Order: sequence, then C-alpha cells, then structure tokens
Amino acid sequence: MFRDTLKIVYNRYLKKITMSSFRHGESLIGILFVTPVVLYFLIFLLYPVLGALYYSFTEWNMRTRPVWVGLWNYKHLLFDRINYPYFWHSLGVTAKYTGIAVPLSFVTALVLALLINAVQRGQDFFKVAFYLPVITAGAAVATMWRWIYDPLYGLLNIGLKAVGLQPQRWLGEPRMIIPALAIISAWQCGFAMIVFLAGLASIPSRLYEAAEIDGAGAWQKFRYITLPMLKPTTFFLLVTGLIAAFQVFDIVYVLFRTGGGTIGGPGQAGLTYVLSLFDHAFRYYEMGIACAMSFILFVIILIVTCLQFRFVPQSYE
Amino acid sequence: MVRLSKYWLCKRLVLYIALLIIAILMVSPFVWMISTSLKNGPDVFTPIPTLFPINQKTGNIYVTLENYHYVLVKKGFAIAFFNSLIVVGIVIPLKLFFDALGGYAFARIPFPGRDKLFLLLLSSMMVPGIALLIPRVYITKVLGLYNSLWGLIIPMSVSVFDVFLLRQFFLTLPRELEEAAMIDGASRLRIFIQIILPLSRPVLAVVTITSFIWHWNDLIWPLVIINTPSRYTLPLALALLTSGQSHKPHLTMAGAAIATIPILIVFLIFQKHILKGIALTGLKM
Amino acid sequence: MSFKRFVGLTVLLVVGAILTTTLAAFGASIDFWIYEPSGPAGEALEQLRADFEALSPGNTVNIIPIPKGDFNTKLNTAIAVGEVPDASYLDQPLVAQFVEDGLLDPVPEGRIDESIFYQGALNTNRVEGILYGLPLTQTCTAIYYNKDLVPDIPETWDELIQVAEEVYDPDKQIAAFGFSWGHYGGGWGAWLWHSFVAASGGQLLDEENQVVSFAEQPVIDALQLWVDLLAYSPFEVIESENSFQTGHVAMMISGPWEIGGLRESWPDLNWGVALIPRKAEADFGTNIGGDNGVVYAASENKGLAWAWLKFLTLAEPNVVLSRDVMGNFPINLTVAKGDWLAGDEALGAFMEQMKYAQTRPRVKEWLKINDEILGAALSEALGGEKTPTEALNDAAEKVKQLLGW
Repeated sequence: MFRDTLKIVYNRYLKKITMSSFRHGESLIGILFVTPVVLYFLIFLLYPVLGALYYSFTEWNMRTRPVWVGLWNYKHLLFDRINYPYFWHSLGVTAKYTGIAVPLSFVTALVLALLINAVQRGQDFFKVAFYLPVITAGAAVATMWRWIYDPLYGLLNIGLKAVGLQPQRWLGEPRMIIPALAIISAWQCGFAMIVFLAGLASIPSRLYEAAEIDGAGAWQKFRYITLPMLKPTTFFLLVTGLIAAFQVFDIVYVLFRTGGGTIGGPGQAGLTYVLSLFDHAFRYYEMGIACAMSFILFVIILIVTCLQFRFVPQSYE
Repeated sequence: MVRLSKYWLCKRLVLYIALLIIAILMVSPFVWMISTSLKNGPDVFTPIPTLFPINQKTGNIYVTLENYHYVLVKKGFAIAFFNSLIVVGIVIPLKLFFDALGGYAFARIPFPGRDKLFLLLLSSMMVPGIALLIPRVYITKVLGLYNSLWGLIIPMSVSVFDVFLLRQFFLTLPRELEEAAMIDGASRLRIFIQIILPLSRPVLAVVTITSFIWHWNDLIWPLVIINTPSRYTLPLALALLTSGQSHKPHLTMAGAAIATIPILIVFLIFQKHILKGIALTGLKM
Repeated sequence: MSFKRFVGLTVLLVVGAILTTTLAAFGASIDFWIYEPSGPAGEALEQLRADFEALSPGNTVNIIPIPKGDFNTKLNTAIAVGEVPDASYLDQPLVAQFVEDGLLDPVPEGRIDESIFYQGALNTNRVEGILYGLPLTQTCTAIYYNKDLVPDIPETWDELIQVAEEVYDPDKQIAAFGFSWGHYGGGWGAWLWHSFVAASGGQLLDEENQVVSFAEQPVIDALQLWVDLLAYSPFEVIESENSFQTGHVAMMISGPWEIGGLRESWPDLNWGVALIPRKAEADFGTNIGGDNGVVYAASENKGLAWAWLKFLTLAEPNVVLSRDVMGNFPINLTVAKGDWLAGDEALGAFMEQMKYAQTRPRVKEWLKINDEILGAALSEALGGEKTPTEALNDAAEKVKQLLGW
C-alpha cells in the first residue's frame, strides 16, 4: 500500500529530478554488471572467433603449424569445382531445407498451439506430449523415423498403399530426402509450439469479447486479432528458426551416419552445409577450409538476419 | 439450447480426437524407447516395432530390467550420471546469475558503447561452433581446466542466447519498480537480487529448462575436454554404448532412457513457468 | 589474508604434484586411446590389461575408450592443442599422414619379429621402408548369403548373375543382392565396391606410376556388375531396414561385424558366408580394413607403450583382442591358421577371404576422392544417370586433376 502511494508521488513529482542524479556512477555499475559476460565473451567467444578467422586464411590439418595461404581457401571454395565439388551443392541443400522446414515447422507449431488453446481440459498433457519429440534420444528418433520411412514395412508407405497411392523411397531417392528431413523437423517443433502458446496466452481476452459483440466469426477473429497479435512471436521464431535451419546438422548426422552409413545420404542429397563443414574439418583434415566455410555462412546468416530486422514486421503496431 | 450444446459437444469431440492422434505420433518414439529398453535381445527386431516387450516365440508379454542393470553397472552409467549431475548442478546456477546480471545491465543500465557491445555479442552466435572448437579447447587448456570437470563448467558458464532472452524480458518490466526502490536508497545489486530476480522466476525457468537440455545432452565438449573415463559425462557414456553396441538397441535404449528421464522430470516441473515466462518476455525485439 | 591462503594452497598443490610424480616414477604409466570395443565382450580388454600389468609389475596402462564415430575428432583436437596420448589406435590410411607430420615414433630396431605378421596388415604401417606402428586387428568384406534362398554359392560373376536371376522374386519381394546399411553409392558404397574391383583383377590407383586406373576395363566391369545386379534387386526392397535379416535379400556384402548381431538377434535365419565372386579370368579379391597401434613421439614412456602394443600382437592376446574385443581378425600368422576358429564356418570364410585382400590407395587425398568423386560416380551409375563407362571416365578425369597426375 505504502509502496504504491510512494510510486505515484514519485512518478508525478520526483522522477525527472532524481533520475538525473542517479545517472552518476550508473555507468560504472553497468560495466561491473556486464563484466562476467564480457570476460566470458572475450575469452571463450571472441578469441576463438578471431582464431578461426586466422585459420580461415591458412592451410591447416590440425597436426602441424598452420601455413598462411591468404584468400586461397575462400577462392577455391567458391570457384574450384574439382577440389570442392560439393560446396555449392551443400549450400543449395541447406537453402532447400530451410525453405521447406522453416515454414512447415511454423505452420505445424501454430496449428498445434491453436488446437491446445482451443481445449479446456488436458492442456498440460498435450503440452508435454507434443514436447516429447524434442527430448527423446536422437537414436530412438532415428530408429522410429527410419521405420516410418521404410520402403517395405514403413508406416508411411503402408498408409499410402491403403489409400491407393504409390509408395515412395523416402530415404532412398535423392529428391525425397530433403522433404523427409523437413517432416522430421516439423515433428520436432515443440519449442516453437510452446512459444506460440505463450503468444496466444498473452492476447487480451477483451479483444475477442469486443469482436464477438461486433458479430465477428471464428475466422474473422483469427484473421484480424490472433494473427496480428502473434507478429512479435512469429518474428522471434523466424529469426532463431532460420539461424538454426542454416546450421542444421544433427538430424542428417543421426539418420545417415549411424554405423558408418553414407555421408550425406543417397546422391549426397542430404549433405547440408554444416555437415560438409564437419567433414572438411574432421574427415579430410582441412581445418582452414572448414573455418573459411564458417565465415562464409556467418556472412550469409548476418545478411539474412539484417534483412529480417529491416523488412519483417516485428510488432503489431 | 439443446442444439447448441450438441454442436458444441461434436466440436469438442473432433478436437480431442485430432489432438489424441497427433499425441500418439509425437509420443510413440518415446514409448518405443522405453519398451525396447525392457526387452530381451531376440525380441527387439521385428519388421514393425512392437509397443510392448513380446516374446517372439511364445507371444507372451514380459518386462526385464536386465538392460538397465547392465548399463548402470558394466557400462559406467552410474558414474557418468553422477558427473553429469555435478556439472549441470553447478553450471546452471552460475549461468543463470551471470546471464541475468548481464542481461539486466544491457536492458536497463546505460553505459557508453552498451548497445554496440550487445550487437557484437549477438553476432558471435552466427559462427558455426565446429570452427571455434580448437581455439576454445586451447584456451581451456591454457587456463588449466583441461581434463577436469571444471573444464566442463567454466567454459559453459555464460550463454549469449540466454543473455539475449533475459534482456528482452527485463525490457518489458515496468521501470517504476526500480525507481521506487532507488528512492528507498537501495543499490543496483540489491534491486537486482531482491526485486528483479524474484520477478524473473518464469523466464529463469525457461533458461533453466533449455540450458538443462543443452548441457545434459552435450557430447562434443566433454568429448574433447575429458581424457579420463572416471570423469566421463552421460552423453559420452551413451555415445560409447551406441558406438560399441549399435546392433543391440535394447541396451542403447536403456542408456537413452536413463539419459532422458531427468530431462522429462525437469520439463514436467518447469513447464507451467515456461508458459508464463515466454508470455512475459513479450518477444518484442 | 585471502592472498596468503592462495599462496599456501599453491605451495601445497606443487608439493603434492612433486610427490605424486616421484612416486609414479617407480612404475611408468601410459594412456592408450581406443575406440569403444564393438565385440561381444568389452570386458575382455580389461582382462588383457590385467594380464599385461601382471607381466610388467608396477606399470600401468590406462585404457581410454572413445566413441568410434568421434575418435578422429577427439584425436586431432587433442593433437592440435598439444595433448597426445602415449599410444592409440589409428586407422590404416592415417598412418602415412601422421608420419609425414612427424607425430609417430618408429618401431624400435629389433623389437619385433616381422615374420609373425600378416604382411598385408603389417605393411599398412610402413612408410618409405620404415615401420611406424603394429597392426592389431584386420578385417575385410565377404558375401553373406541366405542358405534357404541360395543353395549353390556362386564363384564367378557369371554364376552370380545367374543366381541373382533365379532368386529374384518381385511378388515375394525378394531381391538378389543388397548392401549393408541399405543405401547405394556414397563413400560407404565406394569402400564396399572396392572389393569387387579387387575381384575383377583391377585396381583403383597405380601409385608407383601415378596412373588413375578408374576407367580401365576391369574396374568398369566391376561397376557394370553392380548395375546388372540392381536389375534383380529393387531399391524398395534392399533399402528396407535389415532386409537381409528379414529374408528379403538373398546375398549381401558386409564385414565380420555383422556376425554377433545375426547370431544374437536373428537366431532363426539360415545364413552363411562365402568369398566374393571373382571375374572369370581373375583371382579372388577383397578390400582390407583394421586397426593399427602407434606410439607418439611426444610420449615419455615409449618403451612401455611399445611393450604393450607388442603384447597385443602376441598369439593369445591377439586372438582375444581381435575376436572378443573388436569383432575382427588376428594379424598374427601363427594363430591365424590355428584352431582358434574352433570350427566357426563364418569366421573361417572371412579368414579365407582375407588372403585376397587389396590395400586401399595410400594417397592422402584418398578419403575425399572416395567420398566425393568415387561415391558420386557410383551413385550416378547405379541411379541410371550415366553408364558405368561415362561415370568412371568422368571420375578419373577429376581425380587426375585433383592429384595432378
């Protein structure tokens, strides 16, 4: 009670005067507060980033001293089709994956969130159930999906045959691989779903009530209230989702690497950029090339992120 | 009235059926993981995965805990579990404190060059980690942390992603709270600990759960830092099991289940907070 | 106060460290890095260690198991920051590279009796005439066949095609020939296919004369054979998980690591192992793989490290290491022929096949050529985009440019 009164008095009369006097010494406290984070950043992030930048200008197999080669790595990655035949291919694979997986996961997450939001009972159960794919062990996920995609016994092909459609070689035919991977990523959309749920929960219910009084139907409420109010959520998920999709690695590694299988799947159709980067680092021992690839990707992600900040609506104003 | 209620019931029913079908799709690998971990070797491989451990010869349903016993005792899972608990138990409080402290300053306390510094921090998230691995191991060794559990803790004690998330959250807290406290003569640190942190419980829960999943599952860092089997963490033990016994899913799934269940518990405890937490950050960037 | 405490603590630590080192000097200790044993009993390795320590009192061997898929990541990261073990496993093709980088200690003169080794396996450790490691186990690929589907084992390629034609049954979804892990092409497929190149009488590279022999007739024939086999082996059958084990695939090419799983998890399958069929006018052939043991130049206990590696190559320990620990084959000639097989038909067939092993090319770019050029050529030919001749000609052209030959 007292605090509230104080707050009102303070806001009305004293705010401007006191705030200026607080500024003194504030800078120092601010710097003090960020010191642990900055120290960590300098030691465990900036130093490694600069180190990797240096290595990107060297030839280095990690066992001898790096040899300075200037821009050789960058030039050859971009233009040398003999030594680095899969550079542009892997970039294309990643772009295709990002283009399919990000929207697909988005829509799935939103639909799931809307479904959960629409029921009163059992919300917690469905929340946990839909989040389970995120925490289930990778090996179990891979085994299960290899079965679902199995050409003879797989759930998907059994289903397709039942409705009279042609069975597919989901993990066998190069053109099917990226869609197959994207489906798995949509299935693992638990995090985005929960963010959407939170976004939905933060929409004031009086907006819907007002709309109902005006005679709005379910679709209109969704179109003119829910969607616009979810813009900040969508923006956050788009930025982080794209960064994650550009660096996708785990799903392919788990599906195609187990037990020494093919590296990027049939026809290298699943050879994503970061998977190829990993191979250059620890299979072909070309750390300099791997570091150069990292910085090329860094520039791409930076540009895409800046474009998003510039052109994607971030809030509902 | 009656018609409306019937329509309403129908709608509910369709909704729940849809939700249940999706839930089955989402939960089945988890269920398969658990059920396989309870099977004997010859009953594991069936063209179509079975939901319960069924003896393929007699058709009887059974359960065996032998795989768990084997994995815990013979494959070092007990020690690895303990090591993982220590590491995660120290990393997460440390990280929560540092990240929140930094995130608070970046959100609220102006100092010269603050926003540029923040952008610099953010851009470090965009370089793939594989390139940073060796310099990070090197600096860890220089600091004398190589091949020790501290080497798994200190180099993981701050996360830029979390600083970012926490900053967004602190930006949405009403300023009046702090200013009122300042009039009472409270210091910034006191405000941070007594007012800001308690208010941030929800978002701290988000950081806790995501960090927990991340550190609990992280394989590559312990792999390159630890050279002594008695200091191996759970993901290393699991990777050893998977690489050595890949043709025995009943064993690897018992290992995977042991590794996953703590995550499930943490998620169950914190999931209510997570909802509130994300709602409060407002996610305005 | 706190500074004093800090100094006090440091002094204590230093004294402690000196004490421990002095005490340790009475007996040496080495770190030995291995990949996680994949054989039926990981405990067998512990027994070997105990046996060795009993023979060499006061000395300790610390066995550090590392997940196989991450072994090279771990090893190279450690080397990059100057933390090498005393001794470790090393993939055969990496020995030459590690020697070139000055990391390995040569086998001390007169330390071993070279005549007890399989020469093929031993020579994977030889660089310019000098031995830099000891072979510990070896492996190769052969043909697994389903005895219920294939009554007569094919010996030549013509017979193989004939058998394939007979067993192929689209209605029952039975395919003639499969590759383990389902997928064709790629780096893994290229490694398996090398066995058929060896059985065609051809080779991939002629390193002495710097000739890329991809596009020579025997090699082209080896790829044509796989293309022909595919006509009787529909993708949707051979790409199914465990398709050999479920009885859908009559023959598959793979290594001895399948044996344990087949016996334990598929007790009802009636299977056998046979030599890889050869081209009519050629001798048998297969590829070779396996694990070598090396000692690092930076080790402070090289003597103990070599003693340990030598111990692992002795008759009895080598049988235990290869059969029980790694699921591979001994490299010690005196036992390899002996009765350790105990009438095991499958192991016997592999042992026979091993005699015809052809080492893989030793140029340091090989892994990359294998994955990115040869693997791609295989995918193109098997996927029907190019004929085997076209695919291999194009690949040969690329390899010539890459190697500058």
